[in-house]
Amino acid sequence: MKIERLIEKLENEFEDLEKGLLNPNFNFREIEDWSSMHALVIIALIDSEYDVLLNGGDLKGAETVQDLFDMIQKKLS
Amino acid sequence: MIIGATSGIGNQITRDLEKSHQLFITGRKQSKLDLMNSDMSCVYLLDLNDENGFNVLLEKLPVLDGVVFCAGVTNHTPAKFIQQKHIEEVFNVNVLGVIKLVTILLKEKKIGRYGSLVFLSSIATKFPYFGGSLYVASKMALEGFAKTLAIELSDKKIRVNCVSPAFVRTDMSQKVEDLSSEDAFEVFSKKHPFGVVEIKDVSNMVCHLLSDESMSITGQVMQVGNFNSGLKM
Repeated sequence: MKIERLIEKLENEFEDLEKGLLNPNFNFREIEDWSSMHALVIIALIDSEYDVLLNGGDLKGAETVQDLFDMIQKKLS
Repeated sequence: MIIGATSGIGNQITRDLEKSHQLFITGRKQSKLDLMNSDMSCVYLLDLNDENGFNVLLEKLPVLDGVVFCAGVTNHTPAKFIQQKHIEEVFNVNVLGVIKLVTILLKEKKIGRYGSLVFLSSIATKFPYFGGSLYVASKMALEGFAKTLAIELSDKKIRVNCVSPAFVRTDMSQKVEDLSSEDAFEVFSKKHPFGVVEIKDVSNMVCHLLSDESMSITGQVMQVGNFNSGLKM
């Protein structure tokens, strides 16, 4: 499992983001007009791609794309 | 009979009626049913996904004066991410299980003349929300079923109504809060002019619809609480 794939999926989902802006250290709450709707999309995307269901509490504990990736790996192990 | 009596709204209705009525209550989890500790109630394990469970229940049931359908699940998957498993999770419990159980109760003549059926819907059928497409669709299906049933059962004077609460704080809604995260709940609460709905208010409406006080009310969706979406729909 590679973080590049998660970044690719997120880029594909948030089309307004400048290409190349997303990297492991990117704080996803800096996405323009961030709201709970973005949170739901990220949760659903991760459920769909990795069959891992995060909840709001999990998401609160994550800041960067790397944090999300680590969380998915932890839940899969 | 109260279907889904162990949590939230169903639990409150059970508490409100158990001293004055003979109740048959069902729940999906034995551990929660054990906690009900209700001397006056007949308690049954029932999963709306399991039709075999219906038959066991039927053998023990007398003719009922009222049935409340409280069992339900939520889902918060934006439409483009919906998978078969999400559809089945929501519709099997919120719609298919309810329809199958009603059908069996009617075939076996378990709903008495002048009886009352009450289905728990949601204000989300009027005010949908982001990520709620499956839940809202299931509750709209339920309302459609109930309204049609009201016509079909009118000759037996059996009333059929829905109760449609605005946001109520229960275990089920806690899952909404957990999932939607961030600031969502605070923003959402502010859209309720009278605040989020007290569970007792919902129970009161259900009890009213079950009682002889509502003999001429059928085919209705009774809203409890209010919601200001801020959107023109």
